[in-house]
Amino acid sequence: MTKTSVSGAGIGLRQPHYARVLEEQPPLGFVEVHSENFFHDGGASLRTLERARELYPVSLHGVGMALASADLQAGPHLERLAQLVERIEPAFVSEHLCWGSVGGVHFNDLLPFPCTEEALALVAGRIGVVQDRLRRPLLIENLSAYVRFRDDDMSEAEFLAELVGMTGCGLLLDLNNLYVNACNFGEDARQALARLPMAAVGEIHLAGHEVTEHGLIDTHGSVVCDAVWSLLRDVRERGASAPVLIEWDTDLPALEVLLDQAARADRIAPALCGEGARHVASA
Amino acid sequence: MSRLLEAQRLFGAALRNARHEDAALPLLAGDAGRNRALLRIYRGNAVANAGAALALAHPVCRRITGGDYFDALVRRYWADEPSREADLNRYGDTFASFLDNFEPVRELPYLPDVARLEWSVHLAGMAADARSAGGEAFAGLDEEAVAAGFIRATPGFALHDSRWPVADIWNRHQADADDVQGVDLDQPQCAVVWRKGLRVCVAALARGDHAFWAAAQRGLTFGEAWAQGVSADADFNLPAAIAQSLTAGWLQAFDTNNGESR
Repeated sequence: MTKTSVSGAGIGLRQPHYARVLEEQPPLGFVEVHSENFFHDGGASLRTLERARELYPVSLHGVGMALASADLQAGPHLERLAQLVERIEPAFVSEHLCWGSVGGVHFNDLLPFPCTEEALALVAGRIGVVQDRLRRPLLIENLSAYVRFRDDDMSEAEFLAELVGMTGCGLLLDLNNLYVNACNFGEDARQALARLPMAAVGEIHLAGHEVTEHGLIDTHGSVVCDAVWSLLRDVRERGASAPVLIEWDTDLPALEVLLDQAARADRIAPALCGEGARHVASA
Repeated sequence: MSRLLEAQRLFGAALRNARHEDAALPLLAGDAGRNRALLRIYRGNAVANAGAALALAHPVCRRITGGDYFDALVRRYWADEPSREADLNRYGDTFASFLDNFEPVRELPYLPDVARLEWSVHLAGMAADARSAGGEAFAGLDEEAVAAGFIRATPGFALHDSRWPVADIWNRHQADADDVQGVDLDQPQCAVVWRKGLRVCVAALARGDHAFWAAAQRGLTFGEAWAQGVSADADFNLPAAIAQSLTAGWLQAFDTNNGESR
């Protein structure tokens, strides 16, 4: 028997916590993993994910699709994702709004690109291909970017809103990314939120960042900061009822820390959101 | 060329090599000095991500060289052979051959073969789950039918033939030991990598057994593989080799020459 409906916040499931999560089965709304780490034919990692899937809804979060790569050749990546989706039957499948390869070289990073009409047409087409193959909507995550381009025709929020309209995709709203960008480029995170269709938000990411001499870096290596918690209250007030995921990738703390952050996210949701907002979001 | 592709080519070139930063800076809005520093952060991320993947696939090499030296090796390898895969779990298939030709690691002459072995271990860890066959695979077949058939190994099964004791080195670097002391380094060794359930195992393999399985892996018949085993090692003992294969779980199936899979 596998769980399919998501109720409550989740955590990114990382290898050091596999054993405890499977054994203790803490009360979590869902767990999320990086899709590519399970693009295997078999083995221990995949078996762990299948066991986790028996306990929790799973979100498959891709880091390799690189939807905005201009010259990406059609490869086996989408097929591998499709096989994993078939095997795991995830609650959500998400990818980032980024590019990652050019001339056959992959940088294996989430790289920013100019938000132009040309890029919009390219990414919308790619999302269409992916959604057709997976036979389900994809959630697209806003990026934490350290640079902006002179060619930008629109903001990232406008770009994402256009994508939703063109493809029917959903959004994975990463509030830490939104906050990091706002700080680094002197932008207004709430203005960006106002441009995003809240009804399309299918999942919300919260994470920590690092403050450096070059600005805020999205390290996923600390607790969620107060300003980002405040943004979560804001999106709840705007009617987004999507479940929250606590992302933590570097300097992974004890499981309790992640569970505590997830519980804190849950405390924000019902108080300000409730069934009315849930109804609005799913309408 | 599309403007998007042109922008990504310039940005990508700057990530590959700092010499190309100047050409990418006009793409970016804001202060050029700050943007230069930010491009370096992106370049650092790309190398660090590749390095983390290589370290995950080659933990023994990393323990042998030490972390700092391994990181330096990663930078050189990434400069020569960047990732060609969106999935970093598949990056590093040419790391061993890079090490073959990399002069500075000559002081650790066994390192390339250890890297080769570790890549097999890495692949075996991701290989399909399979149930191994037992002696019943041969039941009811006469000698002639067995000789004309083919043995098929379980997914992840891989053979190595090294002038260094790679299986011993690898096993010495697992949980209980952390060095090559006690390993006679001046000793060629054949090795086998395989999956036992979810666990990946590495063991030394006698030369005749290696020749037997290598022949089978090349698609030769059981009889031909037997001859190869004997040719490599006059003491090759076929019944013992088969018993070892069945106990370890290397055999997935026996395919007769009339197409029956057992």
